Amino acid sequence: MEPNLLLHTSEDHAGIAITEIKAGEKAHGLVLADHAPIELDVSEDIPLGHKIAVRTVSAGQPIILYGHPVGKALQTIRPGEHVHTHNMQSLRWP
Amino acid sequence: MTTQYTFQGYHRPDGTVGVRNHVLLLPVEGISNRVAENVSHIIQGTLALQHPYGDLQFGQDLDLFFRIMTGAGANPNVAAVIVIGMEPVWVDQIASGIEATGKPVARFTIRHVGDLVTTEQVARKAQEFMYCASEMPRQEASLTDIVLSTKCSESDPTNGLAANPIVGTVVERALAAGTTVLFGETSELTGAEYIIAGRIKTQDQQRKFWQMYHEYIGFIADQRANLLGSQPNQSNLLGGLTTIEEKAFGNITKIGQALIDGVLESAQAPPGKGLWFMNTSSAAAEVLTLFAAAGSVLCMVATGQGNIIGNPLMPVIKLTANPQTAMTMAEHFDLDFSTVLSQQTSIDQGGNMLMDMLLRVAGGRVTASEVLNHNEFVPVKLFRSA
Repeated sequence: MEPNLLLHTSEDHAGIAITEIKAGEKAHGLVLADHAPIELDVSEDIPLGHKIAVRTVSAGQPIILYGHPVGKALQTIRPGEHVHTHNMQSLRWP
Repeated sequence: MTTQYTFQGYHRPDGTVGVRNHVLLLPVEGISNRVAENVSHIIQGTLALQHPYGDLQFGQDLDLFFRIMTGAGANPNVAAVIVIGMEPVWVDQIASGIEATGKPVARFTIRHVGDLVTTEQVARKAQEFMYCASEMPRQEASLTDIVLSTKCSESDPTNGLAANPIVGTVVERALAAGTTVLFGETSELTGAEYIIAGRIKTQDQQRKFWQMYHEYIGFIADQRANLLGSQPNQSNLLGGLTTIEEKAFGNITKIGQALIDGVLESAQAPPGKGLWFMNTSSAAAEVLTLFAAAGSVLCMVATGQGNIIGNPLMPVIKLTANPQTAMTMAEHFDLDFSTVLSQQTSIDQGGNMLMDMLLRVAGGRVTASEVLNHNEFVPVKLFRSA
């Protein structure tokens, strides 16, 4: 199965959709750092380039991408959910 | 043994090498644009570098203006320059700065002469310079001889996944071969700035970097504005980038794992070979204008949502890994790396394709931005004129 979701590192909380993925479809993820596969159910429509959570992040907790914190969760985010400005905010320029 | 990257370029009297051979018409003030434009219509092949500034600027803003104008004329892609202005003092200052490169420079002033006579005078000199430039030969040159630059623009997460890492491998290879590379975008390092600082080779240059970074971020903070929609901008948000930190981590992949030799003020020419960070905004037209003024002769721009940017002084190679952008805006890209995003092509193979294109463009292949006539020359103005 060709991947439709890419993660930079295995520590990342979200992957990036490299095709459009519809709610109810499966994401076939690939971690670029170690080529590990990840499978999950996607619960919202995701445009190409947008993020899908691959693990639960509690409200207020940092969100890890590229193996580094790049923002925080504004509410609890669950695997399969769209991650963007509605539930994620900068730690630096809030 | 390092790889030799060669192409046919223009060797200038000061030892620099260009990849284009422009005869430049350089107005000092916005009101001198008209003469430059007139002549560009009369004398085929001349390049009028129009801009709105040059009047009553002072202090640091004037210093930057002179660096940009002198640097534009001194750029190795320029064969000869005609400086045109209202009065002789600033015309002389810019023309003398360019003359230090040894290339042909002429100067004309409009005051007490008028547009029509000045247009004729400039046109006759431009005709002479065109004959001269047309007989300058392309000769064997090495990537080591030129200054490259890179910028990412209208980015989205496909930049960090594919387009920027491809540029990063080319930057690493070019540096290993002994060339000079410029990058910038001060505010856009936010979140990953400590990684960039840690890559700077000397403590002295690290201190300079932190000073520049904090000064720029302080200026932004003083505006007390919400930056969401400006940085990250609307295209970034639409493309899926959510925060400045996420944008920054994608941004820095375009220099690969390379170490940084030092930091430069806006439009400052690098004092040696290697990788240099320049203090710039993140607005593409401003950044590319500053790179060109610092002597960059070729720029690689990686885009996600599709920036259409070009520069009159240097060819801009544009690439994207976003398949939607590659399809909907195909005419703007020299390279489509959507198969790298889908994992059918490796980053390394992408790097081979970009290096090949870079050497072809250096040797004369025109870029999408050149054939589409994208000539954005945007000098940065630091503050209001007196």
